[in-house]
Amino acid sequence: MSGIERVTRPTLDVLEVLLKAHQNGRDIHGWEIKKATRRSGPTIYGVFDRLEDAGLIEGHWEHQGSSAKGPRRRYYRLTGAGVTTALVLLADWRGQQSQTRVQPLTQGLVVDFGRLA
Amino acid sequence: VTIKDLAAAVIIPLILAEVGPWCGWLAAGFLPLAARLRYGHTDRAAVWLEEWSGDLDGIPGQLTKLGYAVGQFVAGSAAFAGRRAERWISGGSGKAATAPNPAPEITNLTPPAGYGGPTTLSVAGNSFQQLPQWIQNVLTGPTMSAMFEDNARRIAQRTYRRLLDEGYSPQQIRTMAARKRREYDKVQVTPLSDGASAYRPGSNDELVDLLRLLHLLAPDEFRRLLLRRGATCQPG
Repeated sequence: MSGIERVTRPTLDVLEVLLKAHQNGRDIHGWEIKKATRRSGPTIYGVFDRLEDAGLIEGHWEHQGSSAKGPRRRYYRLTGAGVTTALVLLADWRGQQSQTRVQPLTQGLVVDFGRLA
Repeated sequence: VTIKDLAAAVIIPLILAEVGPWCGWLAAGFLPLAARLRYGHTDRAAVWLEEWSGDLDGIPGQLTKLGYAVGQFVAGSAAFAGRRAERWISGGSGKAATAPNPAPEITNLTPPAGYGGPTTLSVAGNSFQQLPQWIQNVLTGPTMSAMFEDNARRIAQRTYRRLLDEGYSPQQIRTMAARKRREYDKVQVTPLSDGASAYRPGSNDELVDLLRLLHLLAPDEFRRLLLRRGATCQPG
């Protein structure tokens, strides 16, 4: 459904950062995403590969003036499909997170009721 | 003043001062190699190289730059090894394909009249029937190796596709193979006595599993372990 082969935690982290940037109406470059997710370079670029192959993100080079020297930065943004997928995957993941947090508390309550009875 | 103090105060800063400027240069040299290893000669390699070079410019400190480039290089090497394994598994290339003679199937060979019957060999604690002498006389060394490689490759390809069908990712399969390989390292393999092929259809499953997964992951090491001892196994 997501269009990507594997949905890993780094993938979700990258999608989360890209989604925030999308909501703020701006594009974001690779190094910025790396810093925001606190993941290593190879991990982040591996995720970019998968997302780009799945058509969930698109990249474009920054416009440099003729006087500018050095390599250009590449900016990323979610595509339409990417926004939908990111919303679904992140909602799923948050749902799973909240379930694992609630479960022990529920079990504890059951035990307490048992004791009272 | 101890040697440790001297090292901390003088030698290490001196080394860093000398080596530091080279680190940035070395890092810039690593990146094209890393991009080519990871993506081959593709447009994507050029795109990422420019992007990584931009990253490198933004990293403060020469040693950190080098660390970043080495990280990309290691990831590139891993991707290259994985790509090569997958190409091999999907039948894209392989040494057996360039063997001097076409490799016949062991099972298609029928013994000539007058063949006296098998002898017994021991490999990793299992008994195997020895391939009859007449096959050894017919097949030369490279052909025997090619025959083995063909069989092992077919089994590995079949296993790999089956695992993919079952929903494992290529990475998971590689991890499984690596785990099997560690087990395999503990198995004592007795060199076959006279360079003969050994087989026992249907009764050496554990060894076959180990062999096929080892072969899947590290065909070179596999050959080094078995074939260089003059032994050729027919796994399944």
